[in-house]
Amino acid sequence: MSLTQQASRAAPGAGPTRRPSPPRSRRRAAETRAGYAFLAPWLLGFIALTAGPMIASLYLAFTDYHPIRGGSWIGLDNFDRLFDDPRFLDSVEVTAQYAVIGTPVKLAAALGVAMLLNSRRRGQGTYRSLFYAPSLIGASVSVAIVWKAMFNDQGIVDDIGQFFGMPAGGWVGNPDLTLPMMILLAVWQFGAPMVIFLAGLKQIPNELYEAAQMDGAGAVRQFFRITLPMLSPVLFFNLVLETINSFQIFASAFIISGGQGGPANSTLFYTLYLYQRGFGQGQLGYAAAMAWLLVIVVGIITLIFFRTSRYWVHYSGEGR
Amino acid sequence: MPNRKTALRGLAVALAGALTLTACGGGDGGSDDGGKVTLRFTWWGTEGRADRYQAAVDLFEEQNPDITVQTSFAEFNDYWTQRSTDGTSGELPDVMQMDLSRLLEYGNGGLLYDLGEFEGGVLDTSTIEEELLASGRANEQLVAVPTGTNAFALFYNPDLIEELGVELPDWDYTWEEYREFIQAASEAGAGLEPRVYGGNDYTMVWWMFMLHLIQQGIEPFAENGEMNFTEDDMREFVASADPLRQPENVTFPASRTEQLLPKSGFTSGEVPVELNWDNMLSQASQDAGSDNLQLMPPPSGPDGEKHLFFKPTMQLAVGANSAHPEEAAMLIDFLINSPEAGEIIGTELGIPASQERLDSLQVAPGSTDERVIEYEQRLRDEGHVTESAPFHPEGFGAVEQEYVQVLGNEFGYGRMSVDDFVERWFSEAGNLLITS
Repeated sequence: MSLTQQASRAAPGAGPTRRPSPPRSRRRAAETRAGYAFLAPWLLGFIALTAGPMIASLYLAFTDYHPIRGGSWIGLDNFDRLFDDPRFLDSVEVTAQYAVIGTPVKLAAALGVAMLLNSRRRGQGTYRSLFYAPSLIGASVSVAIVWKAMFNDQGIVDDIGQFFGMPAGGWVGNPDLTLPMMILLAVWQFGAPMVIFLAGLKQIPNELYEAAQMDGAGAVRQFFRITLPMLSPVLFFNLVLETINSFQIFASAFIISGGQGGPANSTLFYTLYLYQRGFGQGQLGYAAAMAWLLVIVVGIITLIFFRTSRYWVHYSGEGR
Repeated sequence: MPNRKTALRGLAVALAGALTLTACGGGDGGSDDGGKVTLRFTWWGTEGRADRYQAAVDLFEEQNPDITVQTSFAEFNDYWTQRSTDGTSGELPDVMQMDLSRLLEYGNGGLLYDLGEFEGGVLDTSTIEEELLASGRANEQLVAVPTGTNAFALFYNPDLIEELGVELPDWDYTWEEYREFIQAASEAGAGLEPRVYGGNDYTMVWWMFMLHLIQQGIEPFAENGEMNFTEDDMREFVASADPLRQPENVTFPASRTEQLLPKSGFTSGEVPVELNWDNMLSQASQDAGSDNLQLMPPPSGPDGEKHLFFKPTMQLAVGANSAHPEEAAMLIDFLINSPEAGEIIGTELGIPASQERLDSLQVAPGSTDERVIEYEQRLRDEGHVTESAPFHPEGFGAVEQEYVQVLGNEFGYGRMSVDDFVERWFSEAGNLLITS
């Protein structure tokens, strides 16, 4: 990742240092061999379990493969069909909404909590662990079930909502409220980006804040002029990671909608629809086409992030 | 460099360990340690069914000490996802519950064992009527054995109907009278908390559409998998419930259905009737906690006849990859023929396929089993069963799911018109139905 490359470039002294050893090439070859030997378990796994299936799925994307009936080459028909498939378009819409709304909200929550936890107070370690806990359990099956129960008719959220004048009936059966419910579940698991933000905040030299205070800058101004720019590499990292994550949401949607993506397709996330097509209906060729389309789209989005990053991501010591 | 050597050695040990572990994982499918055979047996269904199966399996194991049966079960949709992955990797269970709607997919794919070689041997099929047994054939092989038959029915809750103060139509009612009943019951239930509706949108029940076609004299699918009905046929049927949707929708709301899952509106006491297969009555009674759910037939066709049929409820099949097909056939024989198993299973798998078992079945008076048997007996006696079960082409299960779960859900939320529904179903059916 170029983030780490740039980071190492920025840090002086981290580069390769010259060592006094005469037979350099032989030594280097031996080191390379040892390196590959250590890599071997991962490499084997990668080739057999990741690269191989990926190539196979690329081939399947151009066939009408069915697990029982088999299939034959059909060229671009799967991709043609995709754009005429109303449920496919629904799934793209749902996933895009989830990513566009959910990611920033989650990052904002993570940053907010990280800033609160950054100050020196007693029991800070306990708080950090507590706020991280949802991320540990959030992806589990039981939490999705509990979440559904909370938002169901006569669940606790429904009761509170009614107290504040919301219509009764729960969020689960209402297609307009299921996506917000899913986003809330994702936001609640802000632990991972929070920890990274916290590490980033610790890196910001205190002198900057002291100097700004001397110059009379308020808290808001300090945040926008010091915290955000200094934190931008970390923010960038979190943004890329969380965006990719949000495109891959599956388990919670599968459990909450019983694998159906309902009500009225409101939780029909891209990966869930892919699963329905591939493993529910056995249209593995079609599912493979969907998978590759997702890879391409996520790749393009990531590329856009990287390309635009130089306008808003600042690395200290870069001298700009 | 001693360090590197040690490290490499460690690596080699780790690799060897990993390989051994994978090797262990390979030997699946029932080992024969000391002549003992292990069978895998799986089915879809709820806990109630699981209890009955498990009790029967325990008895089988007792009688066959050399056979161990590993049981598992799942919900219907998950079940088929698992089976299709099993089928791809040649790891289908030794004995599995099969459904007519998926039989050809597996049977034509050569994934099921031809049980014909055990007929007359460990597997006695002579007790099953030939027409029913034929439902388990594909490519002239016996790839599945039917467990029993069921018939379509209207479940009703007499207590709730009395509370609503409405009149349930007689057995010879028409579709129009059924709609009137729903309308009246919904009006009567409007003031109740929670609100009671007269019925679900019956046009979203796949088997009601099938029955409607049969009542019009249309055999839904041809032997080659082609549809014998048109978009107009479906449009006319789905639109027939329009009077219930406008001006105010008096059918049970889709959002409420979603909230009540896994129960239904009927088993939650918010709808007085439900269209379902009669063998589901014991499950419905359990869910509803009621001992007083009753059965009557669905509405009559334009000629005043019911045109009902007995359908093979479900079947038992053996994976072609099974290492112990004979023992698997023995288990199937036990489940469908032995009186002891019959006592345990009751009507859970339909009215028993074997006539002998049906005759020997001791049902408790007032039990759901008794109600189901009486219902089918009365259908037979009064001549309501005039058709044979419609042909299930390859892909039947998938188009049914598309109708009920995929499009039915969106339609229920008012997200599409009748025309959209019909158009989208036909466009998907083209991909899902396998024609020859």
